[in-house]
Amino acid sequence: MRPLLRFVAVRSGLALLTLFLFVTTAFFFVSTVMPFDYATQFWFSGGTSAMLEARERLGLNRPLWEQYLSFLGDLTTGGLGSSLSGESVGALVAAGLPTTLLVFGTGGVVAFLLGSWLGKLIAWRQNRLLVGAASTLSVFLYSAFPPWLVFLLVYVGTTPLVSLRFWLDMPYDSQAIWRDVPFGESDLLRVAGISLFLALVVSLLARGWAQRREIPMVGILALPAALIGVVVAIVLLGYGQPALDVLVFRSQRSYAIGPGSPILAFVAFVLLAYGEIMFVVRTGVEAELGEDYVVTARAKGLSPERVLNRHIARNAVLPVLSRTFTGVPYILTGLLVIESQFALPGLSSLFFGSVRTVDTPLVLGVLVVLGVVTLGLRLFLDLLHAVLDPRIRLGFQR
Amino acid sequence: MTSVSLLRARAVRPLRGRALANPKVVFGCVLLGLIVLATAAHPLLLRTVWSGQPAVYHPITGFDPALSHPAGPSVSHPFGTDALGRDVLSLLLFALRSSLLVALVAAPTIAVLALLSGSLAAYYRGAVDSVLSHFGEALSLFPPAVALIIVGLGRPDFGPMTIALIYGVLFGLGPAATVVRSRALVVMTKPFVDAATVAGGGARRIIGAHLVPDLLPLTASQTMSGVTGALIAQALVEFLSAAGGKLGLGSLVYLGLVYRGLVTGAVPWTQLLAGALTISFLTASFYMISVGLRESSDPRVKY
Repeated sequence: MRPLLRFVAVRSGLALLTLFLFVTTAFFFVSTVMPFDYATQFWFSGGTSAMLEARERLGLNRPLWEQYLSFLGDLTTGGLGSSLSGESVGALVAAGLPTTLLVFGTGGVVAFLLGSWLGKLIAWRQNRLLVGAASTLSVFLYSAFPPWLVFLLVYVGTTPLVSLRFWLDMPYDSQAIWRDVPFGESDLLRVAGISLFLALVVSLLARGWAQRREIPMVGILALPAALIGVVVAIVLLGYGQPALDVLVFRSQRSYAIGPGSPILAFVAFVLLAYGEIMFVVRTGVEAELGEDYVVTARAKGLSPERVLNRHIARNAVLPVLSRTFTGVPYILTGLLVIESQFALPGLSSLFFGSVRTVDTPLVLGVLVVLGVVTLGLRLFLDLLHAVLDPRIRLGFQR
Repeated sequence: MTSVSLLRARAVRPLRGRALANPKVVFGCVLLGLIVLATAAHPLLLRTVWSGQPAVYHPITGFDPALSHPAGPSVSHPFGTDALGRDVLSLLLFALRSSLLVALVAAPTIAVLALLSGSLAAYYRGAVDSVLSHFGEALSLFPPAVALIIVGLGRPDFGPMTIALIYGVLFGLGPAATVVRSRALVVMTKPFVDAATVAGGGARRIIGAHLVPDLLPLTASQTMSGVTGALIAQALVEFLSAAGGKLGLGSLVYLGLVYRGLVTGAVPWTQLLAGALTISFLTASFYMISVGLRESSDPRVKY
């Protein structure tokens, strides 16, 4: 285990160095590039003297390096400092993170599962029609303009035929639903977001374990079981209707899926993100198809599914994972718009608000959290690589 | 043939033919060509077909008094008019200019920065490599669209050039350089590089004649994928009205969604479709070229 520990230590050190460089670049970028500062808004109400007074009070007229050092000081003590309006950045980010996790975390995992399944399928079948149809659809969805896709989904979601209102013909009273609930809408959204994401992660781990132990039933049932488990738990606790209201019909206040629905945001994100994964998996699987070990495995009499899932996929999927994780900041671009268009209380609405008021500590806080999450995912992936491939972890001994 | 070029010929497989044999590359190029032709046709249309009514077909100030707006497609306005009475086709072709400008500026920025950073890091290794690759890693944590919004909000002079340069620098020195560097490290271990060094080749010779030609297909694929991202980011920034109010494909969609329901509540489908599908076709063309080049530059995939 020693080489592995050493590997982890070296990689964590490098990740910290990258994080330091990123934080420094981000700090000087954000502090110098914005045309106004936070104090500018006081000019509108109180004129120049109020603006100068606010600048003095908030410490915005200190030299840049002094502000940088105090920012670094906050970071080294583990906090993100306080925003210019006096709230704790850490608390604000922590409040927005679960919603983002619900859309981006679960959406990312589902997009990955869908993309890699489709990619394996079209590489293996080599059916021209299937390949053509899947490729065209993926290119089309990948290049779809996110606000347009969101508009279409909302438009379709509110048409009478799709909405439950049309079929149920029942009065919908969202105030009655929330009357006896001891917590607010956003609390439930947070809890539901975190538990759905955790259920997904746990079921994926269970699936991996089951595949290794060759218990196919557990592998197939893990994902549906976990999702049904969360749903049943929410219903048993008596919060079924509020959960449905906040996750599906949110802000529509009727049995119609409308703007503001996290489920639609989730669907939009999966549609935007799966195509790229499909193409990379397909290229990876096709590259492995000609290898000798595949021919050997087939000649031994193994079933095609087994060769594909146990032999090829293991070699082909790891590079895809690393590609997906390094692309996280880029994939987030679509999410930014999706979240703000659906008016979900996630990180992106926090970010937009803070950019508008030029609240630099808050802007930086969101950026730092994104950086830490991305680096954490990469570190996890490196570790996975090292566990699976002894050449990588032993490379550090020489 | 010298022994160096013999060794190289064995190591580097002909790529031009394989790239053009990939249907995605061909389809993407054709689509891009059509879009460029359409953009070039706009001034011609203004001078010929639309020359009789400059007040109607002007892309910014045009207005057709004969119709109530927004109007659906007709013979005089094939894509209809927007809520302000402007011809959507004229708007669309005019808006394409700024998108093509972004592609034109972002592509060389990404390609040059990625090639330079990747090949210098792989050739010199050591300190140069660790500075360049750590800096690249740090930059790839920065979402370019976020950077564009930070720069763009409240800045009236924010336009396609700035968008392309910011995106190009972040993507070129960040993710693209990381990918190109890893390929360059592989090339540096090939026997023909050792042979060229023994034969007396200096840094300029090795990088210029041996490293860069081998890295070109991968750099091209990365560049095209970067341009795809830059175009999407540009449209998003325009949609979020952070592009200094300049007319672009993103603002065309934005105006369509905002002015919907102002008078009649009707959805201006032709305007939305024209704007959104053009963004799709434009980004899809670059994306397909990128994916096609990636597939055909992977030496293990046979087509």
